[in-house]
Amino acid sequence: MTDDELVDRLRAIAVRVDPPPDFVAELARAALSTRRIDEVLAELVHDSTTELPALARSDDEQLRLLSFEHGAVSIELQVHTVDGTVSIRGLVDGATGDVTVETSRGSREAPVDEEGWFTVDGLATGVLRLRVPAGDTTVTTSWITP
Amino acid sequence: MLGSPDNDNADLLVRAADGDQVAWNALVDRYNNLLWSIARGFRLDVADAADAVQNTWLRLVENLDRIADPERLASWLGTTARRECLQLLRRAGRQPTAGTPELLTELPDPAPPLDTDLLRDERDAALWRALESLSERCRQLLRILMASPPPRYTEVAAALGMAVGTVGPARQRCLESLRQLAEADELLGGRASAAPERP
Repeated sequence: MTDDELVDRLRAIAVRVDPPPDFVAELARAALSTRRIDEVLAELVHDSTTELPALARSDDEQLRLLSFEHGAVSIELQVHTVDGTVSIRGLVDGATGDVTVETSRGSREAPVDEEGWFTVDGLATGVLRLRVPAGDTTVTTSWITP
Repeated sequence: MLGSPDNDNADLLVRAADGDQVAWNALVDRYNNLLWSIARGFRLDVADAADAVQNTWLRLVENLDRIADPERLASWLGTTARRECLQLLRRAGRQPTAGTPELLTELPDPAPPLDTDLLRDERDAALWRALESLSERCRQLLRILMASPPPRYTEVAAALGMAVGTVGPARQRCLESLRQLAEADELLGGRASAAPERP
């Protein structure tokens, strides 16, 4: 058997014993509905996990610091994960309303105080993103995996 | 479809960015198996592999009009999937520091063994067991090469964070190791490199 034939044979095995489950493809197709043409994406400008793994305090508890920016809007996040539950303490600058936290299960509003702070507790692990109104547009962060 | 399979990515991306579900589904059909193979190559279990694949698709949705080189979309997806896998491994405490996939060689296997009962052919079963006994880097490389349709070396390199020129030689070396393990396995009646038994 040549190398190419062997790889083809392995591929045929993978198709039988380890194909992507149907629900994975269904979720992927549904992902298009998360597109928001009328909103602008805030870029991730800082992520503690790419430089400070020591912030992970233990296997069950992790702290991640993230910064997003778009134009005059900035969003600073402390994402704290304990025993599979995520809480967020955040500071926004340049927003003109409350923060919406969007997860794969729905969305929640979080009031922003006079100084720009907000808190969200009790989120499940999994992807999430934040949206904040800024004048006549809405700024959305990229998806975060806490 | 004409010529190279990826030459209409640009068109599909533009249409998907416009909300065209049919175009988006075509992209999903084209690359979902590759993304799954990458996640399984990182030894993510089904739930984590599903998360890594979904997160990768979500990132493509938010970047639909920012893919600079549509012909290299598969490499972009591979790089993104790799980051998502590493992030999930980090979250699970299975990886001590960032950006060092080589460390995965030190890690225990969190993924359950696959159901080899599906493989009635003894040689196929021996090959699958041998794959599990390979070095981590080889197992990961071969699992990604097993994606359908077959990935290009540039895409494999992106998914593994390795230089394109090293994919071919590594493939050859890993396949040779696989052959030896599979032959030993068959000679010894399937016990030589059998995965640990689990329920």
